[in-house]
Amino acid sequence: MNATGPPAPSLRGRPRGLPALALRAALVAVLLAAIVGPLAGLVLWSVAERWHWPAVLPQQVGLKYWARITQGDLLAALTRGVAIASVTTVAALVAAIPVSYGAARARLPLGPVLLMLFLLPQAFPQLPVFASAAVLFYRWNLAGTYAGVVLIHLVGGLVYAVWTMTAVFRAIGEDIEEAAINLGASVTRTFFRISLPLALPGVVASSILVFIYSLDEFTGTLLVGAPYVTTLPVYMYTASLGYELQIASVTALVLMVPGVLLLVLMERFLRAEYLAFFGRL
Amino acid sequence: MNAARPAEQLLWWLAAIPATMVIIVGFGFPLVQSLVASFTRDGVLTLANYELVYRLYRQDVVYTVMVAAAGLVLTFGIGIPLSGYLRLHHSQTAEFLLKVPLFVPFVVVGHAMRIFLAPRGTLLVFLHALGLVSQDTTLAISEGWIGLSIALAWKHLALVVLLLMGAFRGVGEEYLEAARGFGAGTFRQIWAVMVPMAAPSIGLAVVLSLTSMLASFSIPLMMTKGSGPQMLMIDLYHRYGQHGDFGTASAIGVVSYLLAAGAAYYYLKGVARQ
Amino acid sequence: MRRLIAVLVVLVAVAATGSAGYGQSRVTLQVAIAADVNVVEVHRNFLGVAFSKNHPTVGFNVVGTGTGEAASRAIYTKLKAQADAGRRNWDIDVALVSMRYAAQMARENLLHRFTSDLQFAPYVVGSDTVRAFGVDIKGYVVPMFRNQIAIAYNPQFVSKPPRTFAELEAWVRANPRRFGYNGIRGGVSGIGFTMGWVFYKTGQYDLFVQGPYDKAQEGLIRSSIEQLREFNRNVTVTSGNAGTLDALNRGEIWMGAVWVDQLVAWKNEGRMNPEITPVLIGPGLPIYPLYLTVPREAANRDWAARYIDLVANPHIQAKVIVEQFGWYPGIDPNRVMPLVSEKARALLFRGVTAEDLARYSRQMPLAEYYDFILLAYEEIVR
Repeated sequence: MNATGPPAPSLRGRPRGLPALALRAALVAVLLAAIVGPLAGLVLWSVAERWHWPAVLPQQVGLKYWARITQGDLLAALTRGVAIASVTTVAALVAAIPVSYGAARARLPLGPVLLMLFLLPQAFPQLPVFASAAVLFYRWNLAGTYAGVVLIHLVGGLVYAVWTMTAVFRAIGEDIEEAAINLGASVTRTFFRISLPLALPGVVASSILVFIYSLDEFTGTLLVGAPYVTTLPVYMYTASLGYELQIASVTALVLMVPGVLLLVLMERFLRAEYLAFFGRL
Repeated sequence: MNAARPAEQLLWWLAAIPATMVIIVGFGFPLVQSLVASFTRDGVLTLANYELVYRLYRQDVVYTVMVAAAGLVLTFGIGIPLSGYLRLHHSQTAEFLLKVPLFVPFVVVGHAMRIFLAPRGTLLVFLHALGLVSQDTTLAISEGWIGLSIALAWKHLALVVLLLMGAFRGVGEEYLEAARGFGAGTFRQIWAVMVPMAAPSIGLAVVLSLTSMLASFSIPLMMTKGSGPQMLMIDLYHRYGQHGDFGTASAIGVVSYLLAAGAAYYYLKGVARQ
Repeated sequence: MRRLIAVLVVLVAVAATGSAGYGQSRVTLQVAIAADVNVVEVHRNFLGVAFSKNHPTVGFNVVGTGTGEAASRAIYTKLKAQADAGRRNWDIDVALVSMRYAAQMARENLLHRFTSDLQFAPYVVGSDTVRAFGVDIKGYVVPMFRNQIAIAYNPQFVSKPPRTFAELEAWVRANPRRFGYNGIRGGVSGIGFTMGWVFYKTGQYDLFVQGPYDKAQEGLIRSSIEQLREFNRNVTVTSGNAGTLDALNRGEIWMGAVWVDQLVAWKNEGRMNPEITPVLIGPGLPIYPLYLTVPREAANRDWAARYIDLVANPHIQAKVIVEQFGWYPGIDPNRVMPLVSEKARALLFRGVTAEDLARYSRQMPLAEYYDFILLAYEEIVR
């Protein structure tokens, strides 16, 4: 199921004639308005230095609120989010690789069952489960700590690393590992010197997916971390609810940057299967 | 390679422990705890929490299902024709645009839609700039179920189109050529050929979207309104955060599990019937 | 390759632990504020700075835990968890919490009795420093300031503001959707309005505030809430404290239930039409102090007491609390108001005079009545 690239007879079905062209142009215009419109609204609010009713457009436009990125609460929430995402990514990879490798090579009994296990947190409604986790974390003094937030991020984010690495390891044929072993290399040496380097694109893909998941994670951080450990999404929520709409919009746009970068990268480099994961972000 | 020896199996199990522990501690245990807590109040087993859910939130159950259904109708009502059209008449730009919402986090969608659809929101600003509305127009749909459905559809359309395009591209060109030979236009090609052949994928997409919309929290939270029916997850958050009433909050959670499971059940039944 | 991974891991670990704030060897006063951003800023930019100037060797860290009762609840839950786990040296030294949770924490023995250590202990007066929600809190709390819930109106549209709930009812009927409050979600200003309504319709006040809880009152309360549902038909229900202020500012509503201090803060930040004026209506609306408390096993109890002493200092109360931020003093007003400038005093009592406060300021009801009223609202008004 490759979602990029049209099938071979690509010229067939190309719109011909003015009505068809007009329809296509209209479609693109409508999509542009519908998709970009709300996002453009964010941009508008982010530069609205002063915007009081009843003015239809901001009375004063400027980058005052964008400057807030470099100071105070926003910067703190941003650095905290990046730090947590980094730790979560490393932890996810370290935890996932053994499972993925074992499942891919069928060395791990019940491997496929285990793989489905990691899918569960995405299949259930998150809020009730995370609220319950928060109750437990408070009891174990994990709530309001970085460790607690990393843990809750791992619950939802591990699946990206596990599934991606399993697919990658499966794609690397066993023959090349067998060849190395036949030549005298130990299993660990084979893994670290051959399998893992070959799986590097998968490691990169997993890292990006987990990093962005953690950076954008909201529900778990709200329940487990807030108010002591806040990340950008929670900061944006507080600002929006407090009617600090400019700050909320700036934060929202900042949050979108990693995702947009990834979109552009994916269009050029990465495979489309990973895209499907993003629907659950 | 042949199957692992028991000693090696043990080593693999040990290596899998960190990842498994994360899921057990962060998900499995909390899930069970929430089930138990929903039947507990003041230390005794009771149905009091469910009784309270019924008393206070039964209309919200209906509302949640209604909003999810509306969002679903919007998503697939637009998504199926759109994907079908793009399968037949390619447009790189359109496909790229449709991928954008995938990368916008749920909370950001909620905030963006809130200011977009607000009574004097940015949608009206843009329409006014285009000269389509006057200065005094206000939008009445913003904070009700319509605005929520639009926001949910906006976010889910991207994933649905992605899945559908994959499925539609899997439909052999021969079938479509045959249909065209019979004089079928774009519309008939979509509904008579592509949709039936991609039915399993469509079903899966429906289940994924429906469960996600039923359990939506971030978007309704950002588009919060003061009175009237609320999405179930908002009620849960209110019960837990404002009142610390974990028992009733868990009961709401169990109701949401059942709703989500219900959708999955109907899909599995459909698959089994085939 | 392996070296690269190792370096990355170390970098990330260092970044994480660094930002987690480990390795701070000197004493740091941990202050948790369960109130809006404007209150947090006061501690961070004024009170904390003054404290650090007097005690340069002591670090100072303040964190806001959100808004509304959920914010106080977050502090309560954290302290309770540490108490249940039998920990010593809890991680919050000074907690600014709502009256409700101060009472609950006092009842559950989570607080340290500290006011006797204060230089300004004699200035901590008022019935709301002795008992709250039916719990004995004497010695456990010092109000940082007192916050009054009021009806704010826009003089451009409201020539004669109502002075009683009855007048408000009539006005709302004549001007549908021009009055706003946030119901019982998203902020205590709406909850306070609801309580005021219940006092008005039931005619009960002393019983609800002092107790005991009388089940026979439940029917009376329910019928008053049913009347509130009728009232709400002509009302705009906003999404929270900030929602009401925002709607007032935009002219979407002409009157609304607000926190006086939040109204003043928004005006100072330029987010609010300066003409919007607060007024109290009879029989009354709740006053809701925010209490400074010291958790029982706080790691730095003595420094905490000293910080609170600073906040209770009449000069600080006058210059910072009243003049700069337009709040009603937390300690004895007779000690504070003489130190406040004429101009600030005029601004403070604009719309709501000292006499109005004396007449119309009300306490929140007993916890059981409070909970029952909220439950009735959720069930009947939705």
